[in-house]
This record gives sequence, C-alpha cells and structure tokens, in this order.
Amino acid sequence: MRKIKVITLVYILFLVVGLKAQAQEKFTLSGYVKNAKNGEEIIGAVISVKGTSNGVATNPYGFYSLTLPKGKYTIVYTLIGFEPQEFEVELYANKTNTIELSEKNQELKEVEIVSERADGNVKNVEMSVNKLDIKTIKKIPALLGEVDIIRGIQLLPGVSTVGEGAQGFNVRGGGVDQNLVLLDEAPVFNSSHLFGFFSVFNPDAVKDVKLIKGGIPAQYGGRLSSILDVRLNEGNNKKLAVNGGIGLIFSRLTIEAPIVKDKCSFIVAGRRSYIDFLAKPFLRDDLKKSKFYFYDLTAKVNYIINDKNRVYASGYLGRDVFSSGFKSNWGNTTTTIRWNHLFNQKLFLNTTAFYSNYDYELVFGQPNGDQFSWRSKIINYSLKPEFTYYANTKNTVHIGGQATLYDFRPGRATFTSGDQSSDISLKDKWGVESAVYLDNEQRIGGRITAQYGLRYSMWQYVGPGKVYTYRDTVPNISKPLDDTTNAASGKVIKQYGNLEPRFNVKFDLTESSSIKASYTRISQYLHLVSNTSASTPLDVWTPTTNNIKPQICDQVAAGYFKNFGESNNYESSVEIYYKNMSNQVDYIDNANLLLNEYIEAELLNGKGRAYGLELFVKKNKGKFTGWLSYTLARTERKVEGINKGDWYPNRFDKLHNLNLVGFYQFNKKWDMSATFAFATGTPSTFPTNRIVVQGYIIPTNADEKRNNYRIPAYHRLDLSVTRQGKVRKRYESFWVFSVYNVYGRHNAFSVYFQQSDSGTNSTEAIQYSIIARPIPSISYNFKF
Amino acid sequence: MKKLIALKNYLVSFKKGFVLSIPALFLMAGCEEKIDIKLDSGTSQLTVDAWITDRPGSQVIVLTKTADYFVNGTSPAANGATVKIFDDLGNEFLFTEDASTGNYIWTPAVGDTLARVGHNYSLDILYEGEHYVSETMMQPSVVMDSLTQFKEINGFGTDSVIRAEFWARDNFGRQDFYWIRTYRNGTFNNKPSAILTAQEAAFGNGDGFIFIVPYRQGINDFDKPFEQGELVKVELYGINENSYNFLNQAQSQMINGGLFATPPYNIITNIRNINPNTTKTEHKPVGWFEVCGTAFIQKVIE
Repeated sequence: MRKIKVITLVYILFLVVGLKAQAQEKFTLSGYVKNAKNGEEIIGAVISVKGTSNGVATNPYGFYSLTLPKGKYTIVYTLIGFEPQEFEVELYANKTNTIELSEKNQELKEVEIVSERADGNVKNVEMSVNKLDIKTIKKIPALLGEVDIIRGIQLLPGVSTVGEGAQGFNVRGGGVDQNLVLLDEAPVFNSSHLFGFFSVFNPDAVKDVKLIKGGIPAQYGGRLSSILDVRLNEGNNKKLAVNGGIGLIFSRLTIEAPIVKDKCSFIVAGRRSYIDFLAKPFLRDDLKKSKFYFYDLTAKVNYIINDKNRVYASGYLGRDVFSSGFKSNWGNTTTTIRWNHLFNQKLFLNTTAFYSNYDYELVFGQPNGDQFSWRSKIINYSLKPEFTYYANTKNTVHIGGQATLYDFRPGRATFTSGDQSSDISLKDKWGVESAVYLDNEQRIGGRITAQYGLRYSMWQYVGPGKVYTYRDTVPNISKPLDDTTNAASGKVIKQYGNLEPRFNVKFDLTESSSIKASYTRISQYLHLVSNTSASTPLDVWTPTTNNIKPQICDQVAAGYFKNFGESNNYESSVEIYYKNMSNQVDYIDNANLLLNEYIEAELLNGKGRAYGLELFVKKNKGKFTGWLSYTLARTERKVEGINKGDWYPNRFDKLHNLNLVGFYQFNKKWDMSATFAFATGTPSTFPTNRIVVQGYIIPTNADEKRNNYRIPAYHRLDLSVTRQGKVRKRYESFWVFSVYNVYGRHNAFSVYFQQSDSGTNSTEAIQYSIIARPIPSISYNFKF
Repeated sequence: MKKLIALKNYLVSFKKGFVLSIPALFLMAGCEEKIDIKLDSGTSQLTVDAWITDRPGSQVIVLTKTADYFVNGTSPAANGATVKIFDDLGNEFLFTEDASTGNYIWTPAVGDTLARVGHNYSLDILYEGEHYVSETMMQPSVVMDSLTQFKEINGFGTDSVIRAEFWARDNFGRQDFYWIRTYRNGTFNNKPSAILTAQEAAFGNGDGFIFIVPYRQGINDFDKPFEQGELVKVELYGINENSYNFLNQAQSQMINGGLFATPPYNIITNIRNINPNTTKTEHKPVGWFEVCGTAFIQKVIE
C-alpha cells in the first residue's frame, strides 16, 4: 500500500512539473551571486524580473537558475545590506550571468538585521524558520564578550534552554537530542563548549545560520524538533584577510586568502580559551590543579575546477579538556567534502560525503596505582547526493538521498590496579540510516505557493552485536533479561521504515501579508540517553534497536505574517503549532545508564505533546533596531510508571518565554545593544515527606507526583557597548564592553533539598544558581 | 556479572569536580543559597529503622511516622506496636517499647547475640491494626587488617594534610556487599555524602584481594582532614545486595542537586504490609530491616 502511495505522489509531481514546462518556448538564465568584497558566494540573494513577482533565490552554494519565456528582461539582483544590481538580458538562448554585489556604502550604512529580501518573512513559503545574520549575532550582548550562535538563537521564539550550564537548546518542547545540528552538513553531536556557555561554532568562520522549527522540507530528517543548519565561509578569494579577537575567556584568529585568485581559496579559524589560568586565584586549594579549557579549529578550502564543477572540503576539530584529580576531555570532529556539478543550466547536483565523530574520555587514578579509564564514541560516515531541478519559474524540484553508517561505541572501559586489570567494555553497536526524498516548491496561481515533499527513511540495526530480549514487567522496574544472542557481521537485526510527508503552503493576503500552514512528519533513530537535569558531555547516544523504537513526531503549524512600515522595515509573525510525539525515551527510577550492558532494560517508552503560540516583531532598519519574541507554550509527557501514568510537564516546559533585543547606533563610533529575557521557572519534583533511617533524613514524595513544583522564574538583562576604532589603511578594530546579568539576578538552575549541617533533624531547600552576579567583560577585535 | 566496582565513587568525584569548577569558570559568580519554600503535606507512613548487628549489647528498632519534609524536630514516634524478630532456629526475640520514644529494645544476656551469619531472620510488627513483615539473611563482615595514616600534599604543594586508610581483604568465594561506616571521636559521620558502600571491594570477583583505593581511602572527609589526637574508628558491615541498593538510593536522594540531578524517586523498602491488597498510602510502610555481621578497627591519629 505504502509503495503505491509513494509512486502515485511522484507521478503527480512530475506531471505537474512536466506540463508546466512544455507550455511555451523558454530559456534559462543561470549563474552565481557573489560578494564583491571577498568573493564569497551569497546564499539567499533574490533574482527577479523587474516589475513582476517572478523570482528565485540563490541556493546554499550561491547558484541560481531562472527559466523564462523568450524575451527581453531586466533582471534585478537584491540582497539586504547590498546595493541592488540590474542586468538587461535578451533571452533568446540560454545564458549565464555571475554577478558580484557590493555591500552598501559604509558612510550611509544603517544597521540592518536581516539577511535576504526585505519581505522574505511574508514572501517565502517556508515558515517556522529563523535566520540570524551573523552580523546580527555579533551585535547581541554576549556572555564574557564572546558572541555565540546558539546563545543568539535562544533569543528567538520557540527556542529555550533549561538554564545556564545546560548544554544545547530546546525547540518547541523538544529535547536537546532532537535538534539536528549541522556544520557544513555534518552532524555535530554535542554543540556545546564549557557546559553550554559557548557553542562549537566559531562565529568568524560562519557564513549562514538557519533554524527550522517546523514545516521541515523533505531534504532534512533524523531529528524530531529542529534543524540548525550552519554553513561555513568559503574563504576570501580576492585577498588575504585576517580577523581576530582577544577576550577574557578566549582569543580567536581567522585567516582567509585566495590560493589561486577567484578559483581557489581557504579559511582557517581557531579559538583557545584560557579561563582556567584567570580563575586559578579564585579556586579552592584542592582545585588549584584543575584544568578546564577548550580549543577548536575550523577550516575550509574550495576549488572551482571549471564552470560546471566545484569542490569544497571543510573540517572541524574541537575539544574540551577538564581535569581536577581526574582527566577528561570530549569533542567533535567533522569532515565534509562536497562536489557541485552542473549538468546544465537547470540541473544542479551536489554530492556531500561526510565523517563525523563525537567522543569522550575519562580517566581516574594514577597510571601506576589504581586506574579507571573510559572512552565512548559515536562515529558516522555518510553520502548524500541531491539534485535540484529548476524546472521553470514556478517549480523547483529537489530529489536526493542519504545513507549513513553509524558506529556506536558506548564504552570501552578498563580498571587497572598494578598489574591486574579488568575489562568492562560494552559491545559496539552498528546502524545504517538511509533516506530518499523528493520535494517540489511550486507557485500555484498568483497568490499560492506550496512546497510539498515526501521522505522515506529507513533504519537498520545491524550486526555484529549482541541482541537482547527482555520480558515485559511492571512499568518502572528494570525489565528482566529473557535471552541473548549474537548477531553476525552485517546481519540486519531489526529494521524500521517510515514514510514522512511534508507540506507547506503560503497564501498571499496582500502585498505585505500572508498566511502559511504546514504539516511535518519526521522520525528519529538516535536517542541520547540522559536523565540528568542538564545533558552532560558523558551522555551516550544509543541507536534504535529491537528494544528501542524510532521516535516519530507529527507537527502542524499555522501562521500569519505581516510586514509594515516604510520599505517593510517592520516584520511580524504569529505562529501556532501542535506536536504529537511517540516513542519518547524515559527512564525507570534509579536507572543505571552508565556503562550498563543492559541499558535497554532501564528505559521506558512514553508519548509527548507540545503546543504553543509564538509571536515575533522585528524592526529591521534605522538607528534603533531589534526584536521582541514571545512564546506561550506547553510540553508534556505521559509515561506508564511515572506520575501514576498521567501527563506531566517536561523538564524544559516553560509557559512564558519573552525576549527583547535592541540595538541602538549613536554614531559611527558608538553603538549599544541590550537584551532582556524572561521565562517561567522550569518544573521540578519536590518532596512532601521525610523518612528517617540511621540518622539520615531521606526525602520522599508520598503521592509519586513528577514535576509537581516550579523553580523561581528566570529573568536577566544584558548590555553591551561597542566602540569602533580608527580605520588605518585596511586595519579596522573595535572594543566591546559588556555586562551579562546586569542587575545580578540569582537565577535558579535548580532547587534541591538536604539535611542541614547544623542540626541532625533539620532540613533545608537550596537554590543553586550558576551565575548570580553581573559579569562584566571587555574584548578587542580586529580585522585587516 | 556486574563488574562496575567503584565506578560510582569515581563518578561522584567527577561530578563534584564539575560542580565546584563551573562557578570558578565565572570567577565564583555562582551561588547556593537557602530559600524558603512551602511544600505540600503528603500522607504519613510507618517508618521502620531496624539495623540489627552482632555487636554486644542492646539492639534497637526505631518506629516513627514520616513527617512533613520541613518539620521542626524529630518525626513522631509510632507507639504501641508489637515488635518481634524470629530466626530460623525457632527463637523469638521480643523488642520492648522504651517509654514513649518509639524505640523498641531487646537486650541479650552477656556474651549472647541474636545475629548468626547465614541464618534467616524475619521481622514482625503489629501496629494500629496493620501487620508488617520483612525477611533477611545475615551476611558476614571480614577481618580488618589495619588502619594507617599518610600525608597528602594539597594544592600547590605547600600544605600537607593527614589522611587515613584502612586495609582489609575481600571474602573468598562469595559475592560481598559492605557498608563502611566512619566515626570520629566516637561520633558517627552521618553526612549523606559520606555513605560508603561497596560491592566486591577488590578487583575482579574480589576473592581474597585487598580492597581498592576508593574504599580504603573513602573514609576521609576531604573538606576536613584528620588531626593529631583524633580517634578514628571504621566499622565494616556485611550486608545483602538489596541493603546495598537501599543505601545507595538513599544517598542519591539526599544529595541530588546541581547539574547532575536526576528526577527524584521514592526509595525502596523491604518492609511490607502482610495484606498485599492494601491500597491506602498510610498503610504502606517505608524503611529497612537488616541483620549485619560487623567488624571494626580504630586508631588515634599520630
């Protein structure tokens, strides 16, 4: 049945495309759009026919293709922040035109905080998408003066975090492991440095950031809640450029230059933190030898072979080192190789191959005495071809596939004591995730645009491996082991397939307003096993197996989009969404999740639902710019064995989440920015009674309520002032002074309960705040 | 076989390092402060605190009712219960109530004990019309070899502090669980963070090997080193696996803060209402019953 459905859909799609294409004699104009300053390809520049609404946007490689009936046209190339360019073309044959856009004159420069077209909010079919221009992110007041992409996106509607010190981010009521974080298409399994205070992305090397929360196109899959698509700069192919900064917590340096002018260029960006040196005087004696720092290196090189072929290679290497009587380190490594091939002006092929690895290591004790060491890894290799067919001005078709091999190494662990050692390693696990998809973006009449697609994803849990079968039991106790068998190498132990329809539609109400709706079904085959308040670097990714089912999410969303003011300088949107999630992973009481061979026996299967309303108003131009983002949301779970089987709020449920971001430009030299964040306190389980045994006071919750209280609300104000230095020849510099948590709010990360030290019979509630005072900082940035 | 020896203790030190270092990252910007919270009252339940040992002298079973978490003073005593222990040799030991404290006491004849290794014991409590029972088998302790002291260099190597270490060998041919209890100048260290339990305290299956370092040195309070003249006593209780689980669960619920907090849960109990169909929370008991083999060693710090 399912197969038939797929085939039918494919046919209809091609029929529509084909019919439209045959109607009239047409020719194609194609090419690339680049930034005149550094030769970087521009993503999302709009190419349109003057006086009409017919247009296309450049793809992630700066390529565009516009097919029009034979004739004479004026083509306009536009992008916010750039001088528009016009191009007269007599289209009596296929033509190519690659153009370079210049950034707007510095003297007249107003702050503009959008990329792409001014009316993109209303005019694009995609919804539930937030793009943050890297220039905007750099203006947001930053913790310790260091701008950060993930901290930036946390100011957008629908995005939240459990608190300071928590890794990752939550999107529309989803867990941190439900975000697909892509760095040049390679997944990053832990997007945080230093326990979530900074992300792994070096902003100086990032070109484009796009967060998709709903209406996810068929090209993407594998995570329930969001796609964070981060693309790196290609490297200046006109001249050598150096960019750097010296701050309190780390310093960074980026070098980019052409290898062969206009043909081949590279970028290398590095960061190294040194806060542990600065913190040393503040540490307790027994922590004096502690180390905690991180470094990362991002590099990319690209080569234009000829008009039809271009290759890119990019890589990331990052590591956090943390030791304090023990040694630990963790980090991601990714490598991406991409090949763009143009078959003709209308058919573009990108083939991506990537390798991604996240690993950590933990060593306790001394090499000569007792020692315990533990290493864990998740490695994956993937191949991903995608065809883009620019059928005509009305249809753009994407067809592609992806195959990924995963190697899970949950734990290679040994204990040694002198010459005795004992190996307590867990068996590796293997999985293959594959998908094929088809997607078409189609304009239907003058007012309606639809993007519809279908993705078929498949998961194979394969050998070699040990296969466990468990018996069902009362929910919330460890499942008894029934049987263990060994699966041979390559044997498919368990297979799952899911058909994932995707649908987005936009209806233009007026020139400056539209309504949009979307439906997304998406599945996820990897699960981050973690029951701690904040996810930690030691959490282990586990595959879908015969015991763990794939997570599936259905999301519907609808929104109203409106631009107003002179030249669309205000944009606004209201969106509502509802999500239904199945096979959510939860844990039994007292679950043992570390180095446990029988970890699957400790897991529970539940369902989740999340719904909310998101409001966004943004002022894009002028001396004063900024945005307001407000989210009213709920995210809940229902798991047999927890909270007596009733719905309860998720750990990251926040009813209200408000963010205000403002930028003010005083003059050419000084500008200022401020952010204010407010969020409802997260839920927590508090005790009702005490059990006294052997002098210990043990908290208990007699009625087994989960998340029955909330910690106090979170709010915080940050300010930052930037002073531009004098421009000397090519050398530009600026100072950033910032204060994080201006009024020193003690924002609770958690509240816990303990026996008081003073009296044997007294107990107390302790509020734990990670940052409870203003944090001032200063950083110096330069480029030449 | 489970070989996760000492992993837990290692991870506790890792978490501690984490939690202490994160505030340092921001130049001690973090803070832990006492706050006032009003908590709901939950249903009160009978609490049994029955840890019987083979030490000479009286054995005490304490019965209380669970109080609100933020109660002032002690939990209310459960008075008027009938408390007995039976062994598998046909003996009955009646614990008599001490006037109004809720302590139920049995005093043996000089040199006698009710606790014999390898024998089965059952606890029997009649209280307010409900009948509560529990069973256990007594486990042995081991012979403790010695208690030593050593100097540890701290920080940048300027100060040194006194640490203590005890030495013992794991029992042969059996799966052992221990509760290691420390006393300073006669006072039991009841800090929840100081609960030290072991499963096969040595390598591999533990048989005959010396206890590993995390246990030998786990008796130290890292914030408060030992001082000259202090009397240190280490007790080693031989316990059952479920008692080991009980102690670990109790500890995890008493120190469950910070970034690594996990959802709180209600810890296990081995006391049950003889009526399995009782649905009322107030008729479901909590607490623990265990009969332990014990050993101890002590030393005055030089």
